[in-house]
Amino acid sequence: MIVEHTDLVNIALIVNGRPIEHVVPAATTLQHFLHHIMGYYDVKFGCGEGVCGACTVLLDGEAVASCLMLAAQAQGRTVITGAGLKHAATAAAQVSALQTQLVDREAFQCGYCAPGMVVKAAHYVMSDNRPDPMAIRRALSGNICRCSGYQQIVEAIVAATTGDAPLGTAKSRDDLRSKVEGTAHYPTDRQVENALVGSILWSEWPSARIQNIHTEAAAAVPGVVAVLTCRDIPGQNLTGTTIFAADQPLLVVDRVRSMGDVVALVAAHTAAAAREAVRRIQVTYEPLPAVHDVLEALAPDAPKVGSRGNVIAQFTHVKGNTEVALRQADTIVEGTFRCTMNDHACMELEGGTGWWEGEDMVLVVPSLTPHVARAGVARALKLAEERIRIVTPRMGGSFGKYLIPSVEGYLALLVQATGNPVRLVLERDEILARRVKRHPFLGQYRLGLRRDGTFMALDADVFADAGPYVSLTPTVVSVFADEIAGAYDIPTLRVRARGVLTNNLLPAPMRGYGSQQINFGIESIVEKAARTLGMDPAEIRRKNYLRTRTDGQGRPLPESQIALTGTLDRVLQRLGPRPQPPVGWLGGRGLATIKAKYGYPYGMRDRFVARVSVNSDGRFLVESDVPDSGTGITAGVTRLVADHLGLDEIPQYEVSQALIDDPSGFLIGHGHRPSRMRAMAYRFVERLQTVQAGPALAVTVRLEAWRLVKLMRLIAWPVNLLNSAVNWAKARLFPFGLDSYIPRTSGSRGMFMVGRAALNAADGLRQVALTVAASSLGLPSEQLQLTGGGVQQRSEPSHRVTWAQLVREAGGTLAALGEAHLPPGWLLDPATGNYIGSVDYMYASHGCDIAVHPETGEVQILRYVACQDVGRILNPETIRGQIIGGIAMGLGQALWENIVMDHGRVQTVGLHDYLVPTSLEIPRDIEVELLESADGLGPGGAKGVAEAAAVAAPSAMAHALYDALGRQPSHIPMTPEDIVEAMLGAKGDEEERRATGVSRQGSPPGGKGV
Amino acid sequence: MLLAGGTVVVPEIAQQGDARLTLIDIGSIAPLQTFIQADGYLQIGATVSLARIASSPEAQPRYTALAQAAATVGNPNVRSAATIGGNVAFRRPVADLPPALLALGAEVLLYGLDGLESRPVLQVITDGVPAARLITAVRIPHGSGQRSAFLKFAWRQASGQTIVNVAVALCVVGGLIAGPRLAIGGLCRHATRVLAAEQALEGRPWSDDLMEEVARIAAAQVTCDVVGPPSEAYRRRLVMAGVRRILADVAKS
Repeated sequence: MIVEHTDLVNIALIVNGRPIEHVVPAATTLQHFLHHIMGYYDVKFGCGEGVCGACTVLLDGEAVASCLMLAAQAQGRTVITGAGLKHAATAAAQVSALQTQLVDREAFQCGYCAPGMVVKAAHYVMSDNRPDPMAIRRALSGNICRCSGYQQIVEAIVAATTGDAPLGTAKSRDDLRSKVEGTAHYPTDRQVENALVGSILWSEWPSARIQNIHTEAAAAVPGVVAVLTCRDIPGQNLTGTTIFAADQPLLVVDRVRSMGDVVALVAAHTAAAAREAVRRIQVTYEPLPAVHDVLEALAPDAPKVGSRGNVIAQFTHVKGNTEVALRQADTIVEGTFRCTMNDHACMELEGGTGWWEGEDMVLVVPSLTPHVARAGVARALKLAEERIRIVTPRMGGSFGKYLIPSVEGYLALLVQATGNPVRLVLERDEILARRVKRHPFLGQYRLGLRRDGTFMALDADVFADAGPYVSLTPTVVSVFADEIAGAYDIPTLRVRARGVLTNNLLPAPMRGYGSQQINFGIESIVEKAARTLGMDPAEIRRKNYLRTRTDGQGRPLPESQIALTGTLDRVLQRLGPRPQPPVGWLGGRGLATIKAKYGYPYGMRDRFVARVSVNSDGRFLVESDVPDSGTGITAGVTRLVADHLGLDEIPQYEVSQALIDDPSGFLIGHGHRPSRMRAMAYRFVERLQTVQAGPALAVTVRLEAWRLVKLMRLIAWPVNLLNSAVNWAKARLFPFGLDSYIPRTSGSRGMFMVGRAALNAADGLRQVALTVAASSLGLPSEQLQLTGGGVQQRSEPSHRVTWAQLVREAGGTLAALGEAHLPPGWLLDPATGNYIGSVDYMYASHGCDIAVHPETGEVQILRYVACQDVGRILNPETIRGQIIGGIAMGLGQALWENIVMDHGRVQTVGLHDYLVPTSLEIPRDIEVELLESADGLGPGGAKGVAEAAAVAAPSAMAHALYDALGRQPSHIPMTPEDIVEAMLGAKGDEEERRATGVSRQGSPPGGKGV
Repeated sequence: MLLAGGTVVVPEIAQQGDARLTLIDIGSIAPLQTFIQADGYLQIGATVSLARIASSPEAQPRYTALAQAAATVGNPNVRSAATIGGNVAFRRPVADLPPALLALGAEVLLYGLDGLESRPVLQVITDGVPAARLITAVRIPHGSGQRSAFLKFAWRQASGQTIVNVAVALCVVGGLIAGPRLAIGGLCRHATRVLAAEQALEGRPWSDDLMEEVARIAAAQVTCDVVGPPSEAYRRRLVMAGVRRILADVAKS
């Protein structure tokens, strides 16, 4: 076949058993054809270069990446997609068993990769079918899963090949089943007829003044409907999280501060026209000096990134007299450690579709904070918040990214300007080069110790690279200050944590934000201390672990356990004796113990609301305003409610628009909106509280001299008092939460906060049901009890009413609203009056054995073991999946995932270059052991889970490299080339030592005694 | 432009959806999909997939290096579409089949209006496919008693972009190495043979010292003109390690 590539070609093929004939432009890929044109939304797009496998389909029985072939090449062939596997003639029963196993083992989380992965897995089961985990991993290596770490997927396939009986939990996972069967839809799946294509013109310089922008040539491109610049914003030109500062323009005016700034927007009838228009927008820049390093940005003569100084957040954490302690210390160990940027690498592209529905604007976009997204859009469009609906049933990964605004503001502007539906989805390279990243970290440490390894003092300066705008960086910096000592009891602390503006990309929260970087810092200096003193790394940790747990106010909890020693002991026991590395390779063992926040309250009273209801069919529904990004909320919360009420069936979960409209639950709870006066007064108090962060920070920014602490304390006292007074007043006068300003699910709290609210609602529902049943049966409610099917008399079970009867009796739906609160955090530093701090912590130890090739820097992970105190095990497979997924991401950040920056410009292109681990990278059998201290803040004493593993894994790997090389990694990721360089450095030292007979600090002979 | 597996061309077309070009799909031409085991040579049709080469019994054990190279390209989904002809025509340092084909002494069959001609693989990967010619097959001579091996370094095991790849083929006659060919890719625009290293192997008996010596020669002599990262010094270290490993592999087989 020979065609001009713009020609239309007529193709005929069979998709999922259905013959299709269609005329398409010759350049249409098979993925685009199936997904966009034919509506097979299970054929996802992830990378467009055959790396991620989200678009995998069976083509005449062979698994192929449908983004790598043209639709025309499928002429006359048979295609089977993830949702159509039952049409795979040979093995419908096998496929069905496979799907059940995958659901049963909670193999997927966000589920975006699932249809492609299931196609590949089905192909394996139908063609190879050996229960060999390594063969399965090889087969799956072209299908990337960002969430799961692959282990449960492999286990499910093994079980399917051996015909093992399912664990029997699958029926309860409607949500997961829809992902596995390819019927779950994501924001970028949404197609609206005649939608225009949106496109973004990004900044050309990391720092420049804009002299002028000409859009005439762009607007003249045929097919272009709108070209927008900052002049076209009807409302406020503001985006970003505005908790701490309102400094990020939606579209830049006369200044660009990073490569991630947006200059102009285009909407056109075709993608080609939109691209051409973006190219034709003429912008004249006057490049300005830029700064790309936090230390350089601190210099007095450094270019100013924002309108004020470059330090935008500073938290001090002071305990005891560090100077005296350091003088008394036998040894002082110093070190500087860095974490570079990471991309969230969500498998779904960033973006969505928006349109008008009558007076309302509907935006289908990824978001973890629909209220914040909506408020931002309303502000920019000058519309009432109620007229904007953010629809996010689920999203293809988030890992914290969507806690801050994404592209919804741009999408909304284009929808408003054109009056048309618009689809705006960023390309993978735009996401890598322009969008948010994990906060880069730099920590300078001095740790004072006694000869026996007891920690005496920590003096540390730690920095977060804030990129060009304030955003959420102050919270990350506060986490740095709060968790600076990690899992250890260090009697004196003198810590200064700062967030510093640079012209790099804007950072965003990412799995264990703040905690990961700061634990890497403290773990690194502790490891260095162990090797300096010649101590066993396990021993020095045991000696210095925290011995008391504190509550949300920083008060010790005498009755509670602290699981640190327990987790380490379990890890060591499971690791057993050191394995023998292959000949010519160096062996290394790394241990890490972490303490990481969950339930982060942003220093304010925090409130979550959930609603549990039952309808006249007796079907239960749990609602909240928290979308599920794959953290297991949907399954976890519904299962909790089912267990709590003893239901036979697992309820449905829905993200409720009513709760997004009114996150306080007031409307739902009272049946009417709060009065206007009351709402206004409440907003005023909210504002009062949020702006408090401003003055408090301004105070701390100037806190350079340590001796001023007492004076600062005095100054901060009124701020402090005001904060408490406002909190007190709010809690009593207003029954609403502060939620509209607060990211909802950050810090692993989604599940445990929504879970608690849902349990509270379930209790309410139980009361209502008993009351209704009492009047219906004519019995006192004390004699009644709930059963799976309804309510019955304790002594005489035949006296009973079903749920459906109860609902009829009540004349509609039976429902109850529940809520959960977090305490407002604790006082981090008396000098600043900042309450911002965490309320409880996760504790975990990880250990790994690796082999490193000294000549090439290749790393083999021989064993990996993790032990975590999860409070209470609500759902073991979900927890295991979250932990293994966290380890996979953490290992990626330690070894492979490298955003290469050159003067603020990202050099990493595509997912072939940004190395998200495949199934071959992740160790085969990660062992996870869970401890139950049952004293977390979540339902039944559960704790947050998801982040701790991502926090611990990079440190465990870095220490294993240290052990193997005799040289400490000073940064992550450590590429093979970095490892070789470290190795050569160590060799150099050894030669030097042999030559001079002097021993270097940091590589003692006893260092390998784990 | 010719379109076979499409794994390289299609993403480019999708990216620049507005460039004008003419596409000719050769994927369904049956004679290009054949695997011919003839007297004296193995002939692989241009559109035979890498997945098939990687798992084909015909390629084992005589053409081990080719099967190993095919098995390291991209990932399983890519290999089931990517073709041998495409990989030969893919003129990038990261191509994985050229070193193996160089070591195995392969020839490329080209079809044009003036008929069929055969050219050494080196010429095709150096100068590209001549105008108005179509690769129809790759022909690999039997080389009786020949052993071969291939190894690739990438920073990820699947979908890993090649940093350095190495391939060797040789015979052992009466305990002495005969007709060795050693080829290396990843360091310059196309894979090359390292003649100095081959000479060092020729006519010598196996020994650890010999392998070490040859690895050193290869690392020192191979041309490097790609710009890092990773650095040239690191790439040369990989060459050394890689050559040592494939020689050890061949010695064992």
